[in-house]
Amino acid sequence: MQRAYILSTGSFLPDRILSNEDLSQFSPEARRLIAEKTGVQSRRHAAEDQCTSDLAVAAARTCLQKIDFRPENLEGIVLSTSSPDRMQPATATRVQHKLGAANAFAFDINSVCSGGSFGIAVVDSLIRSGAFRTILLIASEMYSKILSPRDFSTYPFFGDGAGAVLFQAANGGPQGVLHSCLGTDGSRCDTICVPGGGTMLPFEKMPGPRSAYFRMKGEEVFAFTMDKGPKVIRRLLEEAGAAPGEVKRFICHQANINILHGIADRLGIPRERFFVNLDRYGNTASASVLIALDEAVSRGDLAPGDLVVIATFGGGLSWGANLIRI
Amino acid sequence: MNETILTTIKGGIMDLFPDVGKIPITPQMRLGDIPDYDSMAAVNLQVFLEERFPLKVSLDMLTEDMTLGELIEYIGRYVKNN
Repeated sequence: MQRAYILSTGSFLPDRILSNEDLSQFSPEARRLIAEKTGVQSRRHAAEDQCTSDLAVAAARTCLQKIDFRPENLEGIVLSTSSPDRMQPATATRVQHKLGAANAFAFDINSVCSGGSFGIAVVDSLIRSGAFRTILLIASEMYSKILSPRDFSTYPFFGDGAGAVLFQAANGGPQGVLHSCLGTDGSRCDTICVPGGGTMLPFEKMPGPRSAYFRMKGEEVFAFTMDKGPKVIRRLLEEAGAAPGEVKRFICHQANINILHGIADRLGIPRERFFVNLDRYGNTASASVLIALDEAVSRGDLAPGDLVVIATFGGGLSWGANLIRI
Repeated sequence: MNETILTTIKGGIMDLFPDVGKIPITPQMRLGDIPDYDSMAAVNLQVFLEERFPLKVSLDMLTEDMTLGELIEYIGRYVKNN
């Protein structure tokens, strides 16, 4: 079996930066709570005329251009998104077309904020099957358009962005996706949701526009993450036979600095080994770990041969982790 | 006037906090009786109140112990004096 290894990474963040002070719909005392509760100082918002596939294409181009990889040589595109262009078809199909990847299959996955880990596991499995050698994983999110601007429990904490990773069959080398762990607790599927617009609550039965906005029970999510985050990382390392000390960087879903510190402390791992960019971008949902991975590689935090743990948690409720040798 | 304020607040609570379900929204209700009421929820209530009424509400005021009756009284007084 040939595992998938990382050939290139890329990311794209929209130009428009909104600081906490820019969120003038909330009182000054409320704005101060944003950084205090989560560590988020600013976030990026896409332009009015942009949609999720635009960010995905921009991240994909950055990723492919780094190694002069031609889009027509892609065999597949897997796009993780929980804020798609449209209900259907898959946003990945627009990405495939705009990217000029005419020979690639393209489909979406939606594991909300865990989509980065789930996507890595799916692409690794497709490559390990032997049926495909080169697949582009993209995670792209545009929560600015699915949040109510007046909902303080969600709007200030999320941002828009996309990350991409080009995977190829490893040819027996030591690099690549060594192990993945995935989990879901569907009994808590209402904890994070967009209640309206699907078959449970069709548009014509929605009591108001608020039903079409993303919703989250913050305290429940915090407790869930503090429980599952350390557990899934511990399980990943145990099953892979790796020690925490061997891991160069831990890249966790960028939701809240207090969660990252809590996970690090519970695992007894120094906080500085956990990558942080949520202060600048907020929570970019499933894109967060791929954006962070690209930043870590680009700035030299991760070099060939280094071990990195990716860990995610989110709607479903779901969680996942991947151990990768760069 | 207080009846009008209560009706407006009722509508807001049901819209902002759908999990309130069938809990009776009366002047005796404490803000802490709203399911998952926390500091984030307080900000959402603050935004709603400041949009619907010509007033300023401090977050320190919107504690779990505050009753809707006290809130209605505050709104009525503020509107009358400003």
